[in-house]
Amino acid sequence: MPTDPLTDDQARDLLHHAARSIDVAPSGPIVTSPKTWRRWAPALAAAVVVVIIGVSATVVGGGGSPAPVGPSTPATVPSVLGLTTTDAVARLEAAGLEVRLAPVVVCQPPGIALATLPGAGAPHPVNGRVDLSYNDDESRIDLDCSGALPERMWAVVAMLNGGPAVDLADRAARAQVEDVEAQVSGLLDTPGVTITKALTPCDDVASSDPSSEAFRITTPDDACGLQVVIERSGRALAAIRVSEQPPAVAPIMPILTGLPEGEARSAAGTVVDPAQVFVAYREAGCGASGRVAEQRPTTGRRLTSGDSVALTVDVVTAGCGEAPGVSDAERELARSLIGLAETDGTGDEADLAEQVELFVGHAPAGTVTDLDADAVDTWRGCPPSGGYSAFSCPVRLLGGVQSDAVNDVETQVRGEAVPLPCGGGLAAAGVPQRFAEMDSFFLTPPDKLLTCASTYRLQVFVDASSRIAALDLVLSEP
Amino acid sequence: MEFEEYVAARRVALVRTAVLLGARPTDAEDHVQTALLRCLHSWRRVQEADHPDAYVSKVLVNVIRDAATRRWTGELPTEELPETGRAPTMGPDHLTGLAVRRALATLSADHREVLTLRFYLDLSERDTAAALGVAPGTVKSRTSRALVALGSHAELRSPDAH
Repeated sequence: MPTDPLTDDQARDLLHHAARSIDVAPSGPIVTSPKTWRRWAPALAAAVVVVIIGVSATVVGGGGSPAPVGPSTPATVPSVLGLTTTDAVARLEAAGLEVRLAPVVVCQPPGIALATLPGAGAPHPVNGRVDLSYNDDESRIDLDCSGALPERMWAVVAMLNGGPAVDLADRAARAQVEDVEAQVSGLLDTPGVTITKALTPCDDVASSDPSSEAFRITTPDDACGLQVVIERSGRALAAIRVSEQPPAVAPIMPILTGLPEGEARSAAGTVVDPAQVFVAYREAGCGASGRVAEQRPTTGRRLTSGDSVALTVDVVTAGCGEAPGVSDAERELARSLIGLAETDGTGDEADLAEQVELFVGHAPAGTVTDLDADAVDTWRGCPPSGGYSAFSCPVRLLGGVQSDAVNDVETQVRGEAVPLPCGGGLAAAGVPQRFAEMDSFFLTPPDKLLTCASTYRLQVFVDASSRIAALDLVLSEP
Repeated sequence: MEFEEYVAARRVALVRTAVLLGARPTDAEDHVQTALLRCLHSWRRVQEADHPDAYVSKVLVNVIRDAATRRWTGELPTEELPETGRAPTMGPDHLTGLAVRRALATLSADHREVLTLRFYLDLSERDTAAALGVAPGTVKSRTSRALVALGSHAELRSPDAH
């Protein structure tokens, strides 16, 4: 039954109605390094703390203070866990950071700083911004908060972070601390949460001096020290540790894949002992990049003392001859184009003309602009005349090169066209004359894979500025 | 606009765009993250683009198309949704929204895409054409047909629209 079309305004109204009916969970802070993002469970809650009474075995009759716990350096993010949001913002801003509030829905008291990203002790982010998570109390009514950390625990946590003092001089206060410990023990069932030490036998904490050092409380005679170390993985609690020393900031494995070997070694040496950086070399054909192809551990892993880094670097296969008829500049273009395909657009940028014309079987099949080039999926098209490739249209122009990578074979760079075993003529009849007059080279699979099923021949046209101007993909006749 | 600022401002809209484009709500977040990750790699280009939404939506459309053509996604679809244990609040607007989503689901992917980009993201015909990889004229004709198709759903024209 014919109907009148909707007007633009009606359609706009309906689409916005539809959009508003889609619930979108709040996001975690934004990670700007190109690595996988994770959904952050609102049950961040799992908070916190602990405790211990370290014996500062100093001194016989010396009354010396225990070795002071070093304060955070000015270039690190201060800990604000447990402080009121206002105090937390003030402390972070005083440290020279720009604070962005990130409300979350969790079972914790409202208005208390729950976490920062980057976490406490991390170096200042490059952009100077830090996300401060606090409880969005208005939205927590639907949560089951039976396992939440009691409010009084947060008072202890806040005190440990330089907040208002809690009197720890009596047994009741001591019990509070033990309660905190018990809470932490309760977190042991949570993946990724560990506690390395329980309360020491130092029975009474006679007084507190939260202003002296963050995370440390000392007794009058300095016989007992109370120190809390909190480690985080992202925004979640990763470990609670007791230490006499200032907490070490666990480094995070950087992105090394794709870097030249020297740069990768240097970067790895900043996060582990340089002697623990191991490099293996893998022959990767004539177009090998000399760059890191694999890394262990993977990017984003938090490293601990004694960890090592293993790198695999692609090197040119021994005895690899120069392909006849291919210049160094063309070989470099081929390498970058192959890299673009193999890395699905995340590798180095290929040197492209502003508009790259695509041909399939010598017939025009579309264009790719420099703006789209990183999205390898856009390198595809259909010849308007159909033809033998129409059955698989749209054809991915770089699909053959990607298949080579998947099959772990080396894409060949050739100066001359090679005939395909099942058809696919050499004459580029449909390619405009201006391309035919350009220099060009060819990418194909190795000879052993020049079969009807898997072969292709990708002619790459290079303009006067040594940029890729056009691609012409020829496939075997099916 | 810096990447973080863009994501903070547009993430919710992008997730909703993904659903309107036909992605399952459970996959939409992943699709948006994949698209943003691709854009992050060449964020300079996005910054230089006239309309960042147009660039990002182009990538998002490709991500969703690719996901749709994948034969096996590792998940088993179920006809009936499990009990959520929590009844959502449904006002008239919400019900209208659901009715529109049901109607969109009956349209072709081409029509869903053009309606979503033109009338939810408010992209121009030119930007929509660039995002979908078609000519502006195609966007115009496709929009016209899509409006007829969407308008054929009588429940969207009733006074309470659900």
